[in-house]
Amino acid sequence: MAVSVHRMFRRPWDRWGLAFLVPGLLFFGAIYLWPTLRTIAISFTDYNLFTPPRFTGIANYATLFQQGIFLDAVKVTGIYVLAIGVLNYVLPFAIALALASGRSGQNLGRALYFLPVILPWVVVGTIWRNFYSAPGPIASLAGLVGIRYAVNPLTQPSTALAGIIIVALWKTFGFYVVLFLTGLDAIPQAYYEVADIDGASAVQRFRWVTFPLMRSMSLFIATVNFIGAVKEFDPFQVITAGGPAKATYAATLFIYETGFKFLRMGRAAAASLLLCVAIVAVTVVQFRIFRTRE
Amino acid sequence: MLAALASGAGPDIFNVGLSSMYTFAELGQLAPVTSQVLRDLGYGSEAAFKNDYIPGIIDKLTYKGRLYSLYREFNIFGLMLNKSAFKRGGLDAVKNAPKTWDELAAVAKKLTIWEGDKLVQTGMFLPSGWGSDWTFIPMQALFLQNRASVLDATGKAAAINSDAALKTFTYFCSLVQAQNNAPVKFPDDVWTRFALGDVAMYVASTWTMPLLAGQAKGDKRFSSDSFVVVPYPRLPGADRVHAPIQALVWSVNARSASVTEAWKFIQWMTTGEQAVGWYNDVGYLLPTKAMMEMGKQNADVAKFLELSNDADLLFAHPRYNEIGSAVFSAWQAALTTDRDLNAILATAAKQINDALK
Repeated sequence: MAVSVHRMFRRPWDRWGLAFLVPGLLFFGAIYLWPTLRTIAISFTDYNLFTPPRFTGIANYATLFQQGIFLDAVKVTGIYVLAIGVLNYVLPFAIALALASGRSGQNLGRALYFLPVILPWVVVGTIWRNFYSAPGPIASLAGLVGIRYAVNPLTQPSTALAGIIIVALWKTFGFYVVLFLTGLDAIPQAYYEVADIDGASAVQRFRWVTFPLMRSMSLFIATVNFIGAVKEFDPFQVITAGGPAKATYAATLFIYETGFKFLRMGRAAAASLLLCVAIVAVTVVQFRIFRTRE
Repeated sequence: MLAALASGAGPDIFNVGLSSMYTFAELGQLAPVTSQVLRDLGYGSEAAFKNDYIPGIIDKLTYKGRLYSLYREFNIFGLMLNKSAFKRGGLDAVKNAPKTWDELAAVAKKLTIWEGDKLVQTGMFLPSGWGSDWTFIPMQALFLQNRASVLDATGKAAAINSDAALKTFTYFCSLVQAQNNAPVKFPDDVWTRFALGDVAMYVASTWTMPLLAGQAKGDKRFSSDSFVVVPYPRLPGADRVHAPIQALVWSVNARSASVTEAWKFIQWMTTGEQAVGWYNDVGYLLPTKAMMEMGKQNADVAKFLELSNDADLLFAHPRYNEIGSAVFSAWQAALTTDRDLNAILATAAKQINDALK
């Protein structure tokens, strides 16, 4: 070991390289490592921000699993992540394929689909709360085609989460359209020319050329999309504030309220760590699936 | 605010609901109104200070025997009836104003008008998405008349799952069902809808008329002549109405370097021209004897002041954020789902007991 370390630093400037790493390591330690370690420590305490933390062992974790409200919040997040995970993959991929095939409208398409991405959630929330209201714009459009739209879906527990998922898709899918388009642009035309010579149909071109060569981009998009969806806070807070009747009370909202409204920082830290573990576990699985196939 | 105070970055002066005052006071974050502060404000004694206010009301601002705040708003609520909406339903807002809860349900049902799928008019609007205070504002009167309470007599356990509370929630569920679930349809612009006659009955306070006047833009339907203010209904045999009072208060940061100046500034804001201007502009009344007398001169405000003798401040507790959230969730679930009320209230009780640990 000592020999290998010595070999690592055998050139005089190697040690300078280490020195140059120090600011980055300090930054990483202060911004990521220390808060993470502190969160782990706090999760084993009863802490209200104002008085010193009191060690309580695994009580916070036990309470989370005994408390129906946390498990309900995880369920809401699970449904949201699943819906966004699938729809925000299929829909942008399909639109990107359509845009890529018609080169003339690609730039306009990118701009149009990307527009909602740059809007703040507060603006998006306000717009869609008005859209959804009954009577309102959607109700009027529905009436024109003979569809009954008498109740704002955001006011009903059975439909509120679906209402938020639609808004979240509208807001975010443009970002993934652009990513998919970038990936499609990177595929060499020669592959398609060879496929054409072999007489491949459009479906075969997609199955044997496009899809395999988009695997790396797909992994990136699936990972970013998943992590983003699990961490999503704004739409739940801005559009419905977790209601009605906790129908849109996501895990992130639970963590925020438990920590900063109810001053139970220990429990909030424990919930954050459980969410973090879930993110890491699913991301590892995603990597394995895509890598195996690659 | 809690995070700001915890980090030492809280403001010198802040405005909070009465319950939050209890929370902050328990956490030791509020500067008390000491005898010295009262002397600095020009009062010879605590009695002299209290004498400026209506009897007993300052005591509500104390926590564990110490005074921590001064009033910013003191909103007494009653029912407001829209005359034209009553007329459309074949009723007269003055003659047919509901006096009992059964009458309210019957009138609400009659005033809820559908034309096929289209809701023309809602009888009684019940807010279901505006948080804890706006859960207690429509609910408190019947809740207390039924002798229900959020906590038991010891204050250490939930009582929200009692038979009395169940009775209250059952009533409001039946009210919603009697209106074919109409009340939840106008969550955002209910005041405009109320003034336009799309809602026949709603809860209101002294600030309602200035609010409607601000939206009127010359439309006479927003003028006070279009409405009638009446007390909440009363159960036969109930001791009194228990109309809700929502209070917001001014407090001073315990860590402020300028506590005396902060209290002087609050006193300046809540007395003289400033208080009158606050009242004239937005209808927020302070519970001082002088302002109550002034309010009586205004017919719109006087109607609400008549209700004050039979009113109670909303439920308040140092753990209000958690307890109120549990009650609010139960209220929303009761009004918007078909879930069993016993189960809903049992869940709320579990959350409240957890909050009290």
